[in-house]
Amino acid sequence: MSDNEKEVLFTSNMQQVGVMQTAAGSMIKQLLHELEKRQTHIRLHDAVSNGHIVQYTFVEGDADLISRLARILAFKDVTSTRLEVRS
Amino acid sequence: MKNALIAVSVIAVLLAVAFSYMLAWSSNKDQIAQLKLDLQAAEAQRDSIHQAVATKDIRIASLEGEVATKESAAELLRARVRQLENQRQSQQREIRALRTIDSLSAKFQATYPEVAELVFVSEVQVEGLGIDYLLVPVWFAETFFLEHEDAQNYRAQRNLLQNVDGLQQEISGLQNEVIGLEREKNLLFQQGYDKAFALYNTCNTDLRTHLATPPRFQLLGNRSTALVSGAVGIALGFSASRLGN
Repeated sequence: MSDNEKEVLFTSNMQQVGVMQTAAGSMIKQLLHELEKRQTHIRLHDAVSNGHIVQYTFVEGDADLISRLARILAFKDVTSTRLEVRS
Repeated sequence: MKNALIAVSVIAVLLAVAFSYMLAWSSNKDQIAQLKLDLQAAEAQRDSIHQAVATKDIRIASLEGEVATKESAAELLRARVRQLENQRQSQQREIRALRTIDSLSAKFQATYPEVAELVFVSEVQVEGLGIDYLLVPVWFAETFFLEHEDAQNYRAQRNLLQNVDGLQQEISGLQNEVIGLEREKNLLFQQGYDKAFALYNTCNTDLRTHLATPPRFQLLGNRSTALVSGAVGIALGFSASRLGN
């Protein structure tokens, strides 16, 4: 991904994070930050308004890191398409 | 002797008729005067009501002006609330748009200058992966709890106040409807009163005109009365002639 594509993806993901419950959105942002540190990117979509759940699609990098980091960050559930933050 | 009695009787009848006529005429004049006084009193009452209505109309116009001013002020405050809500959403988007740890730290320090010198970021190893943490003095965490409680409470207060404002606007609408109906009712009363007064005025004038007309004798005004009277006269004359014989 080019830097420009990364910025566009970040902006799109932040729109999804902004829809979520405040603290849950912050934890998703932490996950995105940790993934980005490791050159891994996902695209968020269909966030539940004021909720703790968001869908995602893998974009590039190490897909295994997604569930591993989500568990470290104590997410309630993680699948290949869905993230749920503890509430 | 008989002729003298007849003459006296005729004069007595004429005097009785004249006296009755004079008495009736005098009574009519009294009634006319009373009717004039009644009409004057009714006119004075009508004028007084019109004056009172005019005074209240002026007061109503003044109060309506005050209401319009306060409604404008309330609408400005509502617009200000909407502006603040837009500002809040914009600020939230700005925070979510923070891209780097440095910009996040700077925002934290600006928001909480009390701990600006004490906050730093550290990578903590968890299950073999380094996770970035923001370190703050432990009891500073209370700030987050209290501000979280504040936010929830203020949000609840805002929602209730919006409901109150909505109800007030509804009440205001209903009150306006009541005022409109009161106005229609008052108009109907006024129209009814004016009609009744005009009718009374006409009746009063007609009656006075009628009473002002001198009484008239109608000796043969009614055919049946004339026939009955004629028959009685003939019978009396016949009886008198038999008594005379």
